[in-house]
Amino acid sequence: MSPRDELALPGPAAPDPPAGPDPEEVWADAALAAALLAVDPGLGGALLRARPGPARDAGCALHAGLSPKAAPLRRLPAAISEDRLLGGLDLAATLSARRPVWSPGLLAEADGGAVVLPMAERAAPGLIAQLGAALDHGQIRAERDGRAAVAPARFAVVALDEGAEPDERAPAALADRLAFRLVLDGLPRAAIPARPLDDAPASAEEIAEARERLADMPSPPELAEAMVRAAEALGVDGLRAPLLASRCARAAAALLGAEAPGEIEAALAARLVLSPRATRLPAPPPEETAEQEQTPPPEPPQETDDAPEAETPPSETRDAALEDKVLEAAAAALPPDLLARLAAEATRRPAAQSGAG
Amino acid sequence: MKLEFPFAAIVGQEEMKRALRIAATDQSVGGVLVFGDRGTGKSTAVRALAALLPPIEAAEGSPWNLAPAEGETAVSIPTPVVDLPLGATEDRVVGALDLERALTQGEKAFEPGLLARANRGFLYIDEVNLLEDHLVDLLLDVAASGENVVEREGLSVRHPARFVIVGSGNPEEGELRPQLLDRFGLSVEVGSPKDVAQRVEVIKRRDAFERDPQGFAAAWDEAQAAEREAIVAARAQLAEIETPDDTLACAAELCLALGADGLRGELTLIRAARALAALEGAPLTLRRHVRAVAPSSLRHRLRRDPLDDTGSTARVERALAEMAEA
Repeated sequence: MSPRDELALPGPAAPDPPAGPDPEEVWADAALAAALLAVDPGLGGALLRARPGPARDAGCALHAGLSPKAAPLRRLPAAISEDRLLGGLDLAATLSARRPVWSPGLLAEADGGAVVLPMAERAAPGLIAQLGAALDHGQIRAERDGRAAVAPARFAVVALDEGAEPDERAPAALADRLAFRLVLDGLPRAAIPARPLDDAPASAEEIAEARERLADMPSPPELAEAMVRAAEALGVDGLRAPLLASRCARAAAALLGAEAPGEIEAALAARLVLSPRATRLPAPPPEETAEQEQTPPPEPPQETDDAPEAETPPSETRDAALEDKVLEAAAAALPPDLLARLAAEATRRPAAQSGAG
Repeated sequence: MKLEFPFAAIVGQEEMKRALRIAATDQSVGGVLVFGDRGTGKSTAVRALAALLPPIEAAEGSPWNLAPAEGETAVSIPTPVVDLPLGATEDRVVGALDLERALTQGEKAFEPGLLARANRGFLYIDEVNLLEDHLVDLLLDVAASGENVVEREGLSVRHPARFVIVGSGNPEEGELRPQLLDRFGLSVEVGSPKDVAQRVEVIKRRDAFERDPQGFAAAWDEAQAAEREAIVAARAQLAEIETPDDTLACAAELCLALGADGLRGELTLIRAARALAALEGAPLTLRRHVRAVAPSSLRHRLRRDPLDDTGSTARVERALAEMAEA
């Protein structure tokens, strides 16, 4: 009875634009995302689009409950002062001790755990930039109040997007760095378990074991390549998404007890990480037909000649079957609002929307 | 110290890398602005340059990295690259009363700030468009005069502060004031690589680096050394390089054609072209060097034309094309 059997992974969502996603599948995905994040906080975090209510509470409970018991969890108040965020001089303590006493900021306090950011769609650019820097570098640099301090600040971010209008969204600079995006808005009460932790995809022990396995989890180059190509086909901008998707596949492999991330884990990761970011239906990449023959290896920058010995030209690391599976899974789970928008535009666009080969 | 991603291992982004090399070769070019979408490796490149730069000779214990005078002990220190983090307070930037000594010993002493530490090096500002206005003004003053004057908390101190400002940011998050824009010598725009093969390569290298930073860096040691030597050689050659009259004329013509404000554009253009010539090992600054650095030298200095919707880069390239035909 492996964890793989117990997880009962949901199949891809039905590809019918008018019907909404199955609420049970939405919840299952949310729960899975929380478990994967607990296994690898380096996935950045999750963006939950949900107004305050039972769905959101259950989502937060899941994230909090699946993290290791000792991990700090900090809630960022809506209007937090820079002092409290980054740390600053503790005036009272300083005066009484007659030497400078500084209090660590909230971000440093969250090291090793998670930060919850409510009203993410209204967060100030400065706050977003600080969170982004912490997510990128795993540390906070503060030059304030007479001291230079570098404090480790490795945490996951659970951003709660309470936007009502379609254009009220959490800032892209933050969303880009969080692996998961989940829409919990409109989930009927029936789909939300009364005790989210009891129904969680994995127990705290299983997650702890998965964390250990993660350290030795291989990172096959075919995986990264498949993710980049799938992201490209779906019109996903930037390079963070495929990187996070590869990382997610490895975390999934650790959780499922697999030796290495394979097709199942890759498909799962593509669905969870890439699909929500898609901006178009997959179209065959322009050079697809030419690639029947040799794919030229990428040119390293002209002015440097040495490439590390580990380099392999892409034609040797492409795994066409994996790429197909990944793209298929991602394409089958495109968000309903994207599909609706594309359906509305269909009359204006030329018809070439075949699935990728 | 956290190991930085090797500069030589950055895939593509040629214009940005060239601009950084030019700024490292000739400080007087004046600094680089790197604008682009999130996730395009801007911060990576700028921090990578730090690891690449050759060490400098400074007087031992000098708080602002002064070159050693007669009789002073000289130490070799890495080229300073100082980060100006978001949320930095003014006292940390300019320097202030040493709080610890004041409280514990009752002594009034100056604690140098980031500007002191950046002297003879680089000051890096991430998210430059989010910088607070009063800090912007302060940096402008210091950049113009090359000197930091501190009058606060009963202290009166002045010290040299010559550095190259490198700023990165996302244009979607707010515009930069024209005064600050003009202060930067070069500007570059970066985007994610469009070519799938390039994107794959970026991901692979990034992945390899994250899994084994030491090993990855070691594999690129030779290439890094080659980059460093090129910059050192270029710096040495800079004074020897001649700029013939027709190159100067080409630069002037271009600036006139574009209506670039003021003389700073032209000066930057020529200096950048000369630095590029030095990096290429050429004895003369040629017209083709000017053409190569024109977009980065001028795109951020063009006055907005309400009748012309074209982006600045396109305008520069159009002017270049028209000049070539003439």
